[in-house]
Amino acid sequence: MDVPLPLTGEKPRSGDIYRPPANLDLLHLPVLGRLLRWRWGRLVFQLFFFAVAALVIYDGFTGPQLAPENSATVLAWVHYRGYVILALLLVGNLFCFGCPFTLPRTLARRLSLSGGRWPRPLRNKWVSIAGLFLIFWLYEWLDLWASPWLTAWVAVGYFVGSFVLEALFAESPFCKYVCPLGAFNFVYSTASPLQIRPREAEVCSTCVGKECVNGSATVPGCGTELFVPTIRSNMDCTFCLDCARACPYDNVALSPRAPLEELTHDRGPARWDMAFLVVALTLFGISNAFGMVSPVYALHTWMAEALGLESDGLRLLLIFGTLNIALPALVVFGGARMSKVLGGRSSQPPLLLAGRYAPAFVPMGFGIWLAHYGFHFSIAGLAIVPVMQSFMLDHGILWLGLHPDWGTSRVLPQEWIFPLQIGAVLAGFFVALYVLLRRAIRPGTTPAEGFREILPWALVLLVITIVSLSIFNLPMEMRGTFNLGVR
Amino acid sequence: MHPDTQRSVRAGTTAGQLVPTCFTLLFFVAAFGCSGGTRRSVTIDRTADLKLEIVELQPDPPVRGAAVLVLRLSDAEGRPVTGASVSLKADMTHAGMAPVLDDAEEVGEGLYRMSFEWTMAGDWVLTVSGTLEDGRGFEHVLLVSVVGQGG
Repeated sequence: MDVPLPLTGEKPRSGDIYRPPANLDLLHLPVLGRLLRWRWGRLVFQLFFFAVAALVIYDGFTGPQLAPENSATVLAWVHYRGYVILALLLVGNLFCFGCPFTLPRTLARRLSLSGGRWPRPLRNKWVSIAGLFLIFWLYEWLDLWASPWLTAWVAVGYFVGSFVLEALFAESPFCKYVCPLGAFNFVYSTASPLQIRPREAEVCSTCVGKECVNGSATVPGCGTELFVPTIRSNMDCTFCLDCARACPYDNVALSPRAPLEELTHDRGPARWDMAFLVVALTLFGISNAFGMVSPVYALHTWMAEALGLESDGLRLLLIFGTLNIALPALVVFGGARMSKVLGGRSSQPPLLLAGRYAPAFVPMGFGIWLAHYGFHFSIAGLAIVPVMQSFMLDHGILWLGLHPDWGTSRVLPQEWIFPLQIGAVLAGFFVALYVLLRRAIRPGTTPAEGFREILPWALVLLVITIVSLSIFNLPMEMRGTFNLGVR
Repeated sequence: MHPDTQRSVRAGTTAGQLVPTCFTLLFFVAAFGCSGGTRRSVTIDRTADLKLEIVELQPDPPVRGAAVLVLRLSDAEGRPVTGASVSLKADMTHAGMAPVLDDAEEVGEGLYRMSFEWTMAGDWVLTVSGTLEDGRGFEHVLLVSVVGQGG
């Protein structure tokens, strides 16, 4: 590049200063950028997902109650989960971006009182952790994925929850503090390749209105109250792009970042709730997969006989409480304590160590969820074709043919799926080790001290990998669902 | 930025407007959801006089892997129904697994044989459907629990 250098003693003019080429900004791409920045740009995507959610509710309540033939169960438990995990891997938090549950939320905002603040003791991730626990427990106990009717009720619950909380509080507490789907997406978007940033930092420093967070006369500010120049993480970012639309200087970019950039650097204050959420989500991934293999039935039988627990729900509560509450607590608090002991004189307080090393569980958890959700999407991703054919026929519409082609189901050949699952888990493990190592290297710590510090975390990751591979290697089994009133 | 800043776009009204809206909406959804009316919740059977029995299911009890199902079709008087075209669609009770499909072969008077594979242990819904020689269609549903290889 031919850049004229200023002569010594001469004040450089702005045009003379070398600036590195700007990062690719998706918001300034010819067509996509214009659509995304358009005031109603998000609404287009939300309306699409709203139509899908409406279909889930309608078909769930009125359609065939055989799950593989109903769009509610197929869309929610095959497509939503497959879409979310692939979008997070390849782009970012695209579900929150098009979230249909926030459409009535906007109505609630307009109807609401001035709105109080979300209670200070709840301004953390503990409520969403409880929400995740509840949804995963209900999922296993009530076999939600085998029941279109219950799946429809879950969707209704999301709409009602979002609407009520938005009506009662000034910020968007549903997204930031409550929504289990959001918590999942926030955590794994920290591994995603896109992030919101300012185009020019100095523009933000002289900005008076801070419209990106406060909102402008026509566009709301950030619902989760993130301030663009201070964003270092995708955590809590719904990708709604209200910040970009509200910014009067057109100074907000949606740019790619280096792979693992966020995970390999400390990007926020160390918090127990954040560390717990990340580790718990990894273990939720294991318990969710464990609920679909035969040893879980042996465990149920043993619990019924040895502990006298007759209730299926109670047994699952105990299993989930152990795997998803007690075990993550042990890993986070025990791991941090062990890290401190092993790290020696240069080690930090346990909270800082938990905050430093828990993000290594993001790629591990991601690998497990990708293996699980990817499996179902690969096996049944195209099943939506005959399901929609059947739906149309039920309504007298013949556009998609006279007979549903139930043989259409697989996206990938069967023999590819298991190797891909193994690859996903192993990739998650090795990336997690890399993240640990990168985070261990810091000024004032020798490599040996850093290595000792990450040892307990690495061991836990190894055990998780072995357990995950063992579970995915077992044949699947799903029993006890005939009480759902199939047909 | 201080989070207590009042949003300029929020147009405040009263709780008196909000609460009835919420409850009206919820009422309609709940009424819809609890109505229990499904579009296709019952077996389509235009041949009420037709009987379908399982003559043979191998292995028994069903185990993950290859399986053979032989069905007998008979009319109200017990006479075998021949010449029907019969097919099977076997689904797990949950979403996310591929269905198993097979066309039956008539192996005797009113006897129809299907060979397929239980691809996973668990609860299966077998939908046997077909067309009789006179063009009438029928559909019957059977529920089968399949255990793993180890029982």
